[in-house]
Amino acid sequence: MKQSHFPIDALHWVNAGDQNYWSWIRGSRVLLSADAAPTTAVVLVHGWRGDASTTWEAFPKALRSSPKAHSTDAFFFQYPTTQNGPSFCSGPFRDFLLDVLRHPSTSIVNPSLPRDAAARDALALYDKVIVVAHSMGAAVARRALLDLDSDGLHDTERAKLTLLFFAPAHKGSTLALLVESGLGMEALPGASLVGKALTKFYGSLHELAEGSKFLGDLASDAANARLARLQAGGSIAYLRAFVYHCEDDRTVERGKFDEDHQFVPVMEKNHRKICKPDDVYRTPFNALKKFL
Amino acid sequence: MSTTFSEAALGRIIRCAMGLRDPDSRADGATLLFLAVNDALSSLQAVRAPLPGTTGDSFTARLLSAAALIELGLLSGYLDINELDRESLRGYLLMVRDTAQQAGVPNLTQLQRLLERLDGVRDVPSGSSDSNFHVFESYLSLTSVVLDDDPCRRFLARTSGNWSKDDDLPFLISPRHFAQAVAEGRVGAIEVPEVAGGLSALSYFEWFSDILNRATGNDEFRQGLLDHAVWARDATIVRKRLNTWATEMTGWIEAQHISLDRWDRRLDGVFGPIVDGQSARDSGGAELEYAYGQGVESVDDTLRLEDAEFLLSQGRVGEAQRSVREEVLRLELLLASADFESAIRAAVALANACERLADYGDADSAAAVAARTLPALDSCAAKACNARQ
Repeated sequence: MKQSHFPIDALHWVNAGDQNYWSWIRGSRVLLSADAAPTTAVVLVHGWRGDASTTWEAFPKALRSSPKAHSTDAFFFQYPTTQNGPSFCSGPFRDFLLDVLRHPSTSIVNPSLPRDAAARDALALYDKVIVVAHSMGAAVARRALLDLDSDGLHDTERAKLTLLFFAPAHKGSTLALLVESGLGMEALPGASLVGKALTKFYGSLHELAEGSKFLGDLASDAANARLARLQAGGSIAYLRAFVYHCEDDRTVERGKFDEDHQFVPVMEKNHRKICKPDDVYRTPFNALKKFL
Repeated sequence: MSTTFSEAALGRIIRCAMGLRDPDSRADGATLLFLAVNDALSSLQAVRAPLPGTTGDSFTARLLSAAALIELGLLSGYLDINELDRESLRGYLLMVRDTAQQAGVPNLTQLQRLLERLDGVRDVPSGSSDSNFHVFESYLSLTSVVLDDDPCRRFLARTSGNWSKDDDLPFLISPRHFAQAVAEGRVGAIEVPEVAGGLSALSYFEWFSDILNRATGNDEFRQGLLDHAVWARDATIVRKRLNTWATEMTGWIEAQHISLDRWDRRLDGVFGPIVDGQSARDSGGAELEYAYGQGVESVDDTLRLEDAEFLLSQGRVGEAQRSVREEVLRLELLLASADFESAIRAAVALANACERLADYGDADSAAAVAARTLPALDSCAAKACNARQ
């Protein structure tokens, strides 16, 4: 039976070798379309203590099952979250995202295809690049995008980009709860106490605290980028994220970030489960499907 | 696509089972299986030369794991037997059988079933069963993640071995102690590297339960998943250990008012499907359990202790102590091995390492380890005496 995608497998990124990122992105995965020239790339970025497989476990099924996704490649980017904050983590992700935009075939896709699979055209580019991020991943993705933008993205590249965030931590978070959720300690009697104690051990988290310098810079850089684009007469759509927040999520601050779209409320899900679709809870994938 | 889905999937399965993650290990599945079998055979006959990119686990166990995954791939429709080179695969699997027999694995019914499917004696599902296709893909991802998570595997090994409630008390004294154990793998100078792994294990059990709940309509497939997930075989003990953590936490002053009801409900959901499935199973996964139980990891402590000696000669006393402490920890895990011979060798090596640690100036840690492992050492000594008589 012909499958729409190859088996999900390890992501091989050529530039990771040049930059010595291999051990850093270990665990990253790809789900590559069997089409000769897919039109869309979905890049998924997990949150604090998440990983490429666990956080996005249900997405391969959702992508395979939707005809709209058959011409879509998915990149499940993994990075270590406990040693470095989002300011540093955004660096390797920025390089990765740039390769998705400018050299997807030679830098990522062809090295990741199964052996003997037909290689993609070296010059092929995606029409759309959708960045899907959860929690801390949203801060990483947003920082990377702003840095790329200030380094000189082309208008055609800006037009391809869409940001889709689930429970983003870009407005700040309650660190103890972020730790509790990241470590999967829900319902453990001492979870909040341990979460609080752990914030002292994970210095990387402090960039995600409400009012941190990192988040302040992120907000002002986003506003400046938007104003600059407006003055230049360009579109700001690529800077305006589509956001989903869940009911009863005290982990992240749910205020509006710059000119993002009004958030969509998600009921009966917690901070960790908001990005995990299943046969009943279709919101995360339906949100993505709108852009495919 | 010029390569078929099943050919690519076979490669993915073999890399997953053999723990191959190196960027260069992109050979096709059949070649990987051939290399792995050859390596396992030579490792039985001569000095072990691990396949590049593999970890130090039992090759035999990994080969059997690969074969079991192929079987599950066929049952779920993830692999289409008509897309595979059946003859080559059969040849390699016969070599796996020889390897396992040489390694002393007593019962190879699971492997035999797969060979019968390839021979056409046993039915192979035709076409893709949509639901179980995705279940298997998810299970493959889970298997990769578990194999790649050293702290989790350490937690599971310790829990399945000689874990006792008292072992965990040092990091359950207070939230601060628990936090340090999670973040740094130690409490003071006492190493407790598996605590963070315990929390990861909880999420993996949760994932596995979800997989089992979705694996419906094919009992053989569901049973095969339970048989293959050897890491989850001691679900009851893992639950007990995690429950110990929760109970001790309610003794913390700030957490005394917190009820365990929510936690109990969560654990019911996480472990229920696994424990129920395991209690209803036959002995189909015995060969994998046996192979893993052999714990063929080398007990040879020479290299690490030589490293420590070198560090000491450089005046790097702290690093030398740390190196020996790491060795001590590894040997403690081996001491819990089901294999008597390995346990005896580990006991002797552990005694030497503790002596070395005391010589290096860390007598406290040496004494703590000795106290902690004394019952196991006594038991080993008694068994050794009995064996000699």
